[in-house]
Amino acid sequence: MTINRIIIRAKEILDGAKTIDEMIEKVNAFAACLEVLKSAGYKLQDPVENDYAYLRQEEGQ
Amino acid sequence: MKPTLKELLEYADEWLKTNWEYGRPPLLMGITEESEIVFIPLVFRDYKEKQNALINARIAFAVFGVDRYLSISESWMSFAKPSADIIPTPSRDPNRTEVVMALAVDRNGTDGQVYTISNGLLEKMPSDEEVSSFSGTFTELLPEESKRIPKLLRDELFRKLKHHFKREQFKFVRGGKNDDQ
Repeated sequence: MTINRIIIRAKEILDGAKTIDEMIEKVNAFAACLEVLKSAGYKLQDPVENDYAYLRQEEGQ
Repeated sequence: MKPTLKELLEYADEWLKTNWEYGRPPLLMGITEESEIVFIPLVFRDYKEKQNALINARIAFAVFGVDRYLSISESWMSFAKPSADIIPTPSRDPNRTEVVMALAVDRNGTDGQVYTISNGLLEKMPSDEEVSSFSGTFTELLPEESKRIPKLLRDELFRKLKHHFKREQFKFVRGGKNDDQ
């Protein structure tokens, strides 16, 4: 069985925002990325800790 | 300059003149925010494979930042008189007709052109035949406006998903270059 793993970190997602609206845009874009990964069959392997999210995707998922 | 929905349908018209044949897989061509063209082949043998292919198309559209697209596929259509109270759903209509449907979609809506099949040849359906709606899964492939992903994040996402597309044998051509390479 093939398992693909990726690491997601969120600590820099607000970097560069100059207004609260831009912060909201960046958060939404990050959430949209997570939705795409979920659509592709990725699942969170363990609870997120210290900003490290390990996602895994199993063949056939 | 990006093509309008009307221009995408004109392209479909030209494409069908030279490329149409029974059983051909649907054409799915996306235009990205950066005006790149992405061709996404959709090959499926059954309902499950079709749903999977459409999920992957949605993922690809989000990852490439497609904001308008053209699809050409065989489809079912129901006909009804303007005075009819109920327009039948094609999938449940025994009198449905097989047609070829070109759909041009952006975030403001969908435009389409229907081609009837007569003796194996395509005939453009006259514009006086009013189409009640162009709807269905092939009109619902764009991510919502609020879920647009900026280019930098998209590129990173593509790198993370490259093996996924490869595993799914989901190849696409972007700007003349095969992204599988």
